[in-house]
Amino acid sequence: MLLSRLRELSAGLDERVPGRAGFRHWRRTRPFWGGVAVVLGGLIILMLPMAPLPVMIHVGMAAVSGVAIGLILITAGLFFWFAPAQRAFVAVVASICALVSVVTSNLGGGGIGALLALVGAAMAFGWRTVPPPPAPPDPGADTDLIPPTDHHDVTTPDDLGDVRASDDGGDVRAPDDGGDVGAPSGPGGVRTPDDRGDGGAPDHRETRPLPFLDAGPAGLRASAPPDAPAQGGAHRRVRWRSLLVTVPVAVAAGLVTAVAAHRPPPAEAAPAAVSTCVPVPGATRPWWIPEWLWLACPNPSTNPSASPPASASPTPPPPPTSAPAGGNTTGDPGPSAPASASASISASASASVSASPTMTAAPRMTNPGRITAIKYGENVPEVSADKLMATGFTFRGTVELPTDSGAVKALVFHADNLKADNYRILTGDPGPDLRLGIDLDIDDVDIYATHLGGLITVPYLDVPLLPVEITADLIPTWLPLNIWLPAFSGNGVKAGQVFIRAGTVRGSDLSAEVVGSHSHS
Amino acid sequence: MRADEGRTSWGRACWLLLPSLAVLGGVTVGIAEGALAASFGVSGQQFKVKAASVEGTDIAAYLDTAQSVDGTHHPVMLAGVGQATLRDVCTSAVVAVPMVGKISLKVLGGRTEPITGTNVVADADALFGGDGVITDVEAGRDASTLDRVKGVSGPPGRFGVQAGTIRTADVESTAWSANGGTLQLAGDLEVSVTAGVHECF
Repeated sequence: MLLSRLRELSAGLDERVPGRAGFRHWRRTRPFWGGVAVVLGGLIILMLPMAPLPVMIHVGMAAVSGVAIGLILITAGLFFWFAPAQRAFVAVVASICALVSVVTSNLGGGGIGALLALVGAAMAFGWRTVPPPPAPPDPGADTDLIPPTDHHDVTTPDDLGDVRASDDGGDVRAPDDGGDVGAPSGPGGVRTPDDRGDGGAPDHRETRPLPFLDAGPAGLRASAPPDAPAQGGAHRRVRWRSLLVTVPVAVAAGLVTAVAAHRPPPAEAAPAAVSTCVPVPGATRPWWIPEWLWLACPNPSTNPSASPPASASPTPPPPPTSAPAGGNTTGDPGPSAPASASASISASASASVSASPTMTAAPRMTNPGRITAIKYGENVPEVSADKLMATGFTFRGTVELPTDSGAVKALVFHADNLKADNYRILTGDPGPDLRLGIDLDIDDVDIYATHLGGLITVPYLDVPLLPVEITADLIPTWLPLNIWLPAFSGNGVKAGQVFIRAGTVRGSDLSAEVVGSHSHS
Repeated sequence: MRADEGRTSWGRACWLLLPSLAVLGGVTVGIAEGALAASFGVSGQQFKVKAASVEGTDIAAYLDTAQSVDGTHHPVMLAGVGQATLRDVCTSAVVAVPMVGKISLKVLGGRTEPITGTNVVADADALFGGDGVITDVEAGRDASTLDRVKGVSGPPGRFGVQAGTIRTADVESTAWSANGGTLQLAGDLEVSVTAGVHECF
C-alpha cells in the first residue's frame, strides 16, 4: 500500500524533475550507495585530525595517517562512482585501509568512520549488474568432488580445476573457467546442471546445453562461455585473495606508533618596568609602626601601574646611599618618583633606600651548586599569593642565574614548608600567557626571585608587621643570611619568580588558563 | 530495471564484509585488552578531557600556540607526560561533518582498569584539577632545556616547567590537540557517536 504510493509519487517526480530519471539510471549502473558510505567514512576519519600541515606534523602519526587514509577512502568512493568496473579491487583496498585506520587514527574516526567504510566497500564489492538469483548457490558445496556415476544428472562444479562429468552424457555443459573436464563418453542429449544435486538449493538458472563435445575419455579441455556462474567463480577466488591480504595487513598496522615533536618559533624580548613602593592591597599602618618604616603605598588602589612585570635584565647596583632624603618622612616615594616604564631598578632601590635606613647590599650565595648550570627563562614571571606561610625559612643570598639574554640576579630563599593561598603566576613571555591559580603546600622548596614584596605579618597571628620590598641588590639589614627562621609569614606577597625547585608540591583548586598575548605597557 | 543496472548482492558483499568485520573485531579486542597499542591524534579543534585521576612520571610543559582548522592561533600549554595512567576517562569532541552536521564523538574508558600511555602530548588551553601532588618540580627553566619528556622542549628563552611525578584527582581540561605516542586501553572502552553536541563537561 505504502510502497505503491511511493512508486506513484516517484513516477510523478520523474515527470516533473528533469534529470531525475537520468540520475537514477546513473545511480543504478554503479555501486552508488556503497560509494556514499565509503566517502562518508573517509570524511569522518579525515576530519578528526584535520588541521594545517605543520600542526598535523606536530601531532604525528595519527594525524598524517588519518588524513592519508581518509583521502584514500574518498578516492575509493569516487572510483565506485566513476570507474565501477574496478570495484572489486578498490573495495578490498578500501576495506584494508579502513581496518588500518582503526589502529593508526583515533580508532578509525571513533569507530564510525571505519565501520561506514567497511560496509560501503562490501556493498560495492557485492554490487553486480545482473539481478541475483533468488537463491544463490551454496559456495561451500563445490569444494569436494564426486566420482562420476551413471546418473543422468551430472555434477559440474563451476570453479574448480578438475571436473568430471558422467560418462553417458552426450551434450555436456561445460564448466565455466576452462578447467580440465572429464567429458562424458556416452551418447549426447544429457543436460548437466552446473550445481551438484546433493549440495543444497536447486539451481534455477537456465541451463544451457553446450555444443556436442567429442565423447572421448576424460581429459578434454572445454572453453567456458561467459555466463553468470563463470563470473561468480572468478569473483569467489578474488574474495579468498582479499581475505588473505586483509588479515596480515591489518595485523601489521598494529605495530605502528608515533611520537610528536613540538618546536614552535623562538621567543622575543619583552619590555619591563618596576614599582616604586610596596603595593599591599588593603594594608593600613598600625599605630606602633613608625611611618618611615612603613613602605606600603598609602593608597594601593591608585597605584595599579606599579606592578607590571619585573625587569629580567640585570641592572647595575644602586649607589649605596643610606641617608634618608631630607623631609621625605611619609615613606611614600611612589607618586613623586617617575612612574614611567623606563624607571630602572636602581631608581626604585634608591627610592626605597632613601625611605629606609635599613637596607643593605645583598650578599652572594655561597655554593650555588648546579643551579647555575641550567638555563632559565629570560622573562621573569610575576607571581603573587594572598597569604604566605613558611616554616624553616632561610635566606641564602643572591645568585646569578643564566638566561638567553644574560644573567639574572636572584634572591635565594629556602623553606622546609611553604603554604601559599591563591598562588598565581603570570608568565612574562611574549605570546600566550599562562594564568595559573592554585593553593599550594610545598615541602623542601628553593625560590629564586628577582624581587619580593609584601606585608610581613606576625606568624600564626596574621597581624601586620612590616611592609617590605626587597630586590636582589638591596635587602633589609635585619634579614639574616643563612639563619634558619622557624616561621615567616606575609600577606599580599608579590615576587619576580625566576625559578622554583620543589621536592613535593601539594596543590588544590588548580585552575590554569592560557590566554592570548597580553600587551606590554 | 534496465539491462545494465545492478544492485548490491548482500550474499556476495558478505564475502568481503564478514572477514573485514572479523578482523575489525580482532583489532578492537586487541586494543581494548591493551594488547594492541592504538595511536590517537586529534588536532585542529577543541576537545574536552575529564579524568577521575591522573598519575604520571616525567612531565614537561611550556607555553605554545596551537593552530586550528580555520587557521586561527590559540594559546596553549603544551604538556608532555612520559608515562601516564588515567582512570575513568571521558573524552569528547564535536566534529562538524559536511552534509551531516555536528556529530559528538565521546570515548569513555578506564573505569575498571586504568588507561596507560607513553609519551602523551597535549596542547591544553585550560586545566582544572582537584587535589594533586607533584614532586621534583622545576618551574622557570628555559623551555629549550626541558629534558624530562622526549620531544617536548620549546623555544629558547621561554618559561618552562618540568616535574618528576604527578598525581592528581578530578582533572578537567580543554585541549586543541593530543597525541598518545601509544595508548594501552584496558577492559572497557565505550565509543559513542551521537548527532548534536554532547560533551563530557
